[in-house]
Amino acid sequence: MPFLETLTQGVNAFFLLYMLVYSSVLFLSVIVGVAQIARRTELVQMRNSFRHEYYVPISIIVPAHNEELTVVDTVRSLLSQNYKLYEIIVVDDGSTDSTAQVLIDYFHMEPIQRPIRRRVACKDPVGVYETRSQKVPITLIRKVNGGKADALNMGINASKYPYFIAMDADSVLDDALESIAKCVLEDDRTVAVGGLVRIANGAVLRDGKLVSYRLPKNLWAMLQVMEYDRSFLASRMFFDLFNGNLIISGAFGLFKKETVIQAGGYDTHTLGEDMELVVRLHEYCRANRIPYSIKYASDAVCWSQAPSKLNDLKKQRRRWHIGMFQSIVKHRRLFLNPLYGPVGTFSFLYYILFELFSPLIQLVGLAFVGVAYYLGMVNVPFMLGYYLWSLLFGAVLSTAAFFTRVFTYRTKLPAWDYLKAVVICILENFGYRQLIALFSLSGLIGYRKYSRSWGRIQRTRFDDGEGKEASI
Amino acid sequence: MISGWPWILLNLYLVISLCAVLFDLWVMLSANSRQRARLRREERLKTLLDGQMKRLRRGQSPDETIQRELFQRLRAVDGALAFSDLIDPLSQREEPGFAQWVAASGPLFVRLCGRYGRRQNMYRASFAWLLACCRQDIPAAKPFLLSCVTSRGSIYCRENALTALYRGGNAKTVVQAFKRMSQADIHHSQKLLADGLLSFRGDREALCAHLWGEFKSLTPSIRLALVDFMRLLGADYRQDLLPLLDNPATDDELCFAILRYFGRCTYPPARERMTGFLTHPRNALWEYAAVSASTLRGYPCAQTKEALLRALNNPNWYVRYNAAESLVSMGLPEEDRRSVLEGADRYARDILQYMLAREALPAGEAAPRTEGGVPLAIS
Repeated sequence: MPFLETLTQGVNAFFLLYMLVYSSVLFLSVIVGVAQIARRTELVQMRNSFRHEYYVPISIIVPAHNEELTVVDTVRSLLSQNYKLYEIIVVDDGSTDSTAQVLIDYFHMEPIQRPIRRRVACKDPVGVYETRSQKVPITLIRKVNGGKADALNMGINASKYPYFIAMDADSVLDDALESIAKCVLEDDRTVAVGGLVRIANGAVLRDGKLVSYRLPKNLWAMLQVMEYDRSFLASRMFFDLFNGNLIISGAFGLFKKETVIQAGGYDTHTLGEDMELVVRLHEYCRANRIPYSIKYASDAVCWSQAPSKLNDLKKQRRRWHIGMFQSIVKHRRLFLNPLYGPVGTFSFLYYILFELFSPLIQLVGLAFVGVAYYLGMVNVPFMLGYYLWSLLFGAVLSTAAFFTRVFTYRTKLPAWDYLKAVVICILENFGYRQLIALFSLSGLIGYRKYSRSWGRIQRTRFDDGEGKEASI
Repeated sequence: MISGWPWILLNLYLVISLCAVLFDLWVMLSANSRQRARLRREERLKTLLDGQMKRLRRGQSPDETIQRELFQRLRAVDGALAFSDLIDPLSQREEPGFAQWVAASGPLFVRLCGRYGRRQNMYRASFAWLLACCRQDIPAAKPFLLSCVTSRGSIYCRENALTALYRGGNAKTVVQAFKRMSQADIHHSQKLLADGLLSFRGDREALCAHLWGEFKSLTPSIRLALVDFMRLLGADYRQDLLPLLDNPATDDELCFAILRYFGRCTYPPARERMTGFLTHPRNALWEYAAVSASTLRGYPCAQTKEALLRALNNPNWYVRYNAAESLVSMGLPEEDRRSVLEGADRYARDILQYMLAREALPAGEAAPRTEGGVPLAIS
């Protein structure tokens, strides 16, 4: 048995080291995040007091596939933005429902023969519709199905302004255009800006402005609220400090069009086109010695629907993990490469160790504990201490992230929701995180099967609060 | 149960994280009292200012005790921002008492400028914003504002200071600020500069003339902003700008701005340059042809039409696009339309067809309601 004993000790040491490093990074990022947020809140307050009209012309690209339930509300919310110069381009990527028709009917759009210059590769358009009867020009492009990245490329080709925003067809902007555009005016090296994506479940918005907010009733959505808040503090804010963000959510991000085109546009062979593009922009700018910055605008808020069914959550996480895997494999030359600065030496390493392999390490760890227990080789006090500490630490960090977000955005919650949030922060350690790890892992296991699709999830229409649901 | 230095470290993390939660809770719980304090602060500032304005309207000088209290309150950034909100509507409607108070408060502004001048950029920006909200030339604040415009770290610091100068309406100070920015090689958004110049409250023609006098000493981005300002103002600098277009040493971006200027302020000799650029762009840059194709719409005549019709066959997309747009906006006769639409060049045909169809789209119809509608919510 000396081999097994050595193995047990080795595995114990590995997990202790892994946890130590992970906890240190997480701790550092959350504490830095809280401090940053407190500082930024004051700065944003000052900035908001200055009533200037900061704007750059922006094309908003909304890729849509079978979004007949939400797409009109999304475009309506975009029309209500308090911003001077923008256009809206909806790209219908071969929908099999009435996505295009509902837009044509609602906004009185007319078919038009429009030549589109292909600066980045995309599939053929089937028809173009335009309207000039709204506050800003709206263009609808129907095209052959080619995936979200392909639809975004079509939008880039059809856009006329130097900056574009990529957003989801089920998302609503919280009057965020000016906030996200400010980053470009503040620093002209900016090639991309990520907005803050918040879960819309539980939020009530009028004319693109938050009217009231409570925690969602649905358990899965509630768990995701905590998860989003944690990742907001733990990665976005921290990585933003050294221009090291690798992800700008596909739900809401602004990009400099020319740089994206020079870098080759969205990769249509990747499932995580949002992460892949950001990693490629880092790589492209660093390789060509272009001064650049990729920023995070914490006051530019986009409300996005979170899956409220377990099956949808599974599909989403599978997609995300496959996307991350593809991006990391494709840009592996960045890994620990000092030529790419902190992106290569820190961000990439972090994503590989604590995001990509984390589900595998967690599940192997659990399996090992089971086997070791069966063989009577478990140091029970150590194991209990380990789990108790992880649980407590995870819960405390989630609570800190949640409360930081609540105070930052001056969100008024019903009193009961505060207690509910603390309970959820504890509960998510009992099964939810493990489940997410399992879903992510299943994406990698079934890589070939799941790696080419739009990933349909059940949508809920933005409505008058009655929560009417329909399947798509 | 748990021992060793790693665990001590981990437990330390736990304790500090708990402190972060407590900090958040404290911030949340104290939010209401901070809000009440802010309201009290605003109320007090209003009372102080009203008192001073009343005294000035009665022909008395400002009360020194109140001025001292104002200094105490305005040296805190919260006070300065609250005061900005308070005075903004007063200066907008040109309240006489307020203008008098600003004029009589030179010493107060000097002290505050000294105080904020030593602080970080965002604090300086906040005070510059207060000065901008006064909408008045405040000689006492001039050194502070001129130092702000050369601040490298913050666009807000520069822009607020420039806004204060534009609103002050003193052309010489604005020119001085631009020269300082040029000497320090400060980059500031060209668009913000051009928009800002347009908001100048004094004699804009005089400002334009002063700036033109200093043209050679300005940085390229300020020169671009100045030409944009001339264009938006419709100022007559046609004879001055044309030689720049002919000068091979002139920067390409400046040439594009000058071409856009001639698109608005028409000048027959400039038209010849533009039609020339359509076929032989300067420095072989297609941008000259593209900008010319767009600006030529300001010169509707047979020669322009011919040149633009030829430009429809240009291999560059943007040249074709702009030429088609210009032709349609100039009103292309049926006969010419047909010659293109029935012609052999598919690209020319497609782009003109699109521009004609776009022109025919109904504009400004009653749009579906997008304001004041039902709230959007999901559970």
